[in-house]
Amino acid sequence: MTISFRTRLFVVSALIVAGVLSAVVALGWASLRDAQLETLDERLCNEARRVGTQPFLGEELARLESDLAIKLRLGSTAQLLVRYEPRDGGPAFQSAGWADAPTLSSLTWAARRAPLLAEPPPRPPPDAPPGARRLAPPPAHGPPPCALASFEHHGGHWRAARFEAPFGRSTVAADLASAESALQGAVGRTLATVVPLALVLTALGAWLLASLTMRPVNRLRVAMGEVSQRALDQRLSSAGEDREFKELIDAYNTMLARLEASFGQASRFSADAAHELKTPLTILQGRIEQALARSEHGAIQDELTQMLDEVGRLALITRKLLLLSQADAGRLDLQRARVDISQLLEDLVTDARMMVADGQLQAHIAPDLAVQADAVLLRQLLNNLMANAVRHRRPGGHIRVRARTHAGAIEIHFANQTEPIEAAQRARFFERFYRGDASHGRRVDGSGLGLSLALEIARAHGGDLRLEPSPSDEVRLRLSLPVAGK
Amino acid sequence: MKVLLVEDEPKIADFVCDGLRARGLEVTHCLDGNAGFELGQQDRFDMIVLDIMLPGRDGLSVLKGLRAAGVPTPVILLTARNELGDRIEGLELGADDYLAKPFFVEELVARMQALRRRLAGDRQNTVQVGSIKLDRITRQASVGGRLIDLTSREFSLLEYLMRSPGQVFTRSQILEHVWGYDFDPTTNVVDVCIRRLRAKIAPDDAAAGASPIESVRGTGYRFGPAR
Repeated sequence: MTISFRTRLFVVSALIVAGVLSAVVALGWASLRDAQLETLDERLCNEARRVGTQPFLGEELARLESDLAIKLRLGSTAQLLVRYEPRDGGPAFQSAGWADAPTLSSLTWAARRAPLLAEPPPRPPPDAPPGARRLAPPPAHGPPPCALASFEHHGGHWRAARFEAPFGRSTVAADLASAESALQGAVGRTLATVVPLALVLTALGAWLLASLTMRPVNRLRVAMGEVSQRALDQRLSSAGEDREFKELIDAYNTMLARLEASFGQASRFSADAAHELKTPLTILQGRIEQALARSEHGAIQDELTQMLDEVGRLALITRKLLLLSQADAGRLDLQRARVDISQLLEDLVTDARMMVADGQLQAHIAPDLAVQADAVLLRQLLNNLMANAVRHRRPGGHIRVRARTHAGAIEIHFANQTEPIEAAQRARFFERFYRGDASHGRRVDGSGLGLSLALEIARAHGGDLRLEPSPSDEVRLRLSLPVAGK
Repeated sequence: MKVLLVEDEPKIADFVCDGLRARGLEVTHCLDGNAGFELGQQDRFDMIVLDIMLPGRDGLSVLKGLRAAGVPTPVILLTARNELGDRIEGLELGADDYLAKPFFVEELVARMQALRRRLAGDRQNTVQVGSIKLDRITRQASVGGRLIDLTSREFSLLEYLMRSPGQVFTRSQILEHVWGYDFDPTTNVVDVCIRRLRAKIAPDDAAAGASPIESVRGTGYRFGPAR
């Protein structure tokens, strides 16, 4: 299967743009998340410092928790854990959920103390989110240090900040889910509108790109199509084209010039040869005719008559070759006039009936079929097809001729029963000098040019001649010609 | 009938002159277009046979010049070049008929006679040989006063043979005249047509062997006994 260049161009450019777009989104998402985490860390530290430096009473804990939840932008106080331990053994307070976080109180507690002030920083737990890390260690004589850590709690990722105040140690921890969900919500909403839009724009852009690339290609294709339909002496103009296409056009024009030269030479040669043959043929035919008229001797007359037949055959081949070479050179000179094709066919059928036993030729010819055609060439064309049917008919075989208007064209079918013909032989029917039936050893007259000439004449009139599928012992030819305007 | 033949190829001119003279025509021959134009302007020819490919001035130009000078003499063109184009151009320029090379002198004569008849106002529109009578206008044939039904090919064939009773016509000549030069000569259509014609024109009481159309063994056919 071949896909169009435009489609491939479209798909490739769309894929590239979509890939770049998703890479940008992924990178953006990661850095956005980092930034978000950093903000959260800073806030946690600030809040831990505030909790550690301001004394709170036990009954103010609920107020402190809701206050912290708002400041840290958490959904509820359930996503928050706070603890304050005074050094002097004063009243400590902690969130209600603190007791449920054994990780925080037991395991991480001991682990956090040492790395808090000393190097190296602790490795985050293996299942901690990748963003979990320590802030830069505080300067030795700067403000009191703040330590950070990540941990697992209730199946979620949490982030904790610990502040060593002069009178005690305060710890504030927040559920990362709330922060992340806020981020996800914001980014998700953005992506939901941006991604489809981006996809549409990508598709549009890719289509535009493909069209832009295809435009000169299409222009070339149309121009090349026109050139080959007209004649080989046409050239494409490269004015105003891009450099790559200029080179392509130049190469095409060079090829066309070489083709024209060799083609012109070949068809001129056969046209010249055919024309040069006509004078000697005329002399030969005239002389033989003269000799025949003067001769009294039966046997000599017999000889001369046979010679005359051969000269006639030679003249016919010459004429067909001349027409074929004109057709090859695209110079088949049509003298178009309105031709009543029905009448022409009726005449031919009348002639053919003389050579075919009664009932073996069936003709269905619709009346008043007319074409704009060269009368002489059209007669030659139909005559060739009829002669072909009569000549290659198997003894006693049927011939069918049908002419009608079909789908805006005139269709003429010639069918005749033959000896069985192989498909390989059928494929050669339109070859020049090909004679069918050679394998049967049956002598078949004719130049072997009839069908190829018929095809050229049909095409020159904007029609076509085709071999139709049929049983092996039948030949069906279909000629289609454009209907004449009124 | 006085004929002017303008043909540059001497060998062609040779047998055409011979053939036309053998049929009692008076022929003047010249070799090039300029001479043809000079002679053609003299009002002494009944017919001009003009080759298209001529040295000096080509046939179409001669024809154009003659018609421009008001010469009404009928012209038959001989074409060998791109015959399709020349044919139409020639007829548009005022030629009365054309003949493609190679051609039979017999056919040239038939065309000349037909042309003369046409231009003379169809005075001789009937041909009669023996009991067979042809009307060229209505294209009806009768044998002994009895009308017979002929196809157009059969009529043309009978008319062609009856033009020169006793003269032998070959199948090729008949084919060219009746079916035209683009008809494939390899079929035996002439023989079949002759057979049908014989059956149709046979007098009711005549034996099959006594047909007026005689076969000349190996050569062709003639109407009536040899001259």
